[in-house]
Amino acid sequence: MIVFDASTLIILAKVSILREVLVAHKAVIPPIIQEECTRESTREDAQLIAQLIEEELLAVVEPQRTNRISHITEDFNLHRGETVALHLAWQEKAPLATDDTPTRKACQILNIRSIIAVAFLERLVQRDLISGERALSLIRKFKQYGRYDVETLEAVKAKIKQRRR
Amino acid sequence: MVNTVSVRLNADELKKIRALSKLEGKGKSAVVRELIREGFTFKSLQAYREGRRSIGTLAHDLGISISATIDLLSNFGIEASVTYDDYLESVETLQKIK
Repeated sequence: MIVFDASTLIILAKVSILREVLVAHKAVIPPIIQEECTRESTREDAQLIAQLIEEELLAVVEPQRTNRISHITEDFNLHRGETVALHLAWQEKAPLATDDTPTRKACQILNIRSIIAVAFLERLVQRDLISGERALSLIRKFKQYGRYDVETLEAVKAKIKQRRR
Repeated sequence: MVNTVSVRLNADELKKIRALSKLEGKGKSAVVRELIREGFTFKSLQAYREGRRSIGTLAHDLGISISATIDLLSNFGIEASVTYDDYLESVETLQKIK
């Protein structure tokens, strides 16, 4: 199981591989993340996320609160959604998919493993859920929405090309 | 509701406001209000880039959705503070889960 925060969920939706990621992995979000991601209902990513919740590919779970985590999230200037997603990941002993730097730093303190959006791309190719050609064509979108540096994206490209051989 | 606030400006600041007012064909008050809004956005983006704000906090501060915030960061070309090591750790974590 993987807990998602809004940043990674929205990036994967914008890049157009969210459905494939949720088919491959059991995914959960707290209700506040659902609200954050679907608030602006005219956006395509919001519509896709709402649809995937309806199809039960994305489960919505309310975590219990603990003061220990609340203190840490205050130190990192996190907003409510990121804080609650961290609670859920901690409670479920699951990794948190997040592309937000302060949230990833809080994950390190709490010993929660974190996953960035672009890592799912190589995994989908590895599991034959998308073709290498399609994955390579999506790198440009990851640059646009994930805003990864050239070194990281070149490394992802190289790994995908290696798997195609 | 619009509030009236008195602000002391030096000659150079006033000159810039007058120049912008002339350039854009707007009143000085409208120019000052616009500069405040855009200055707030700039400062908020800077705080995000330096890792002092999360994306959720940034969206909240700017009064826009997280999706719109991601688009804004993309338009401004603000890179994510993600390293190749972060990517490798993510891949390793994904390999461990079903």
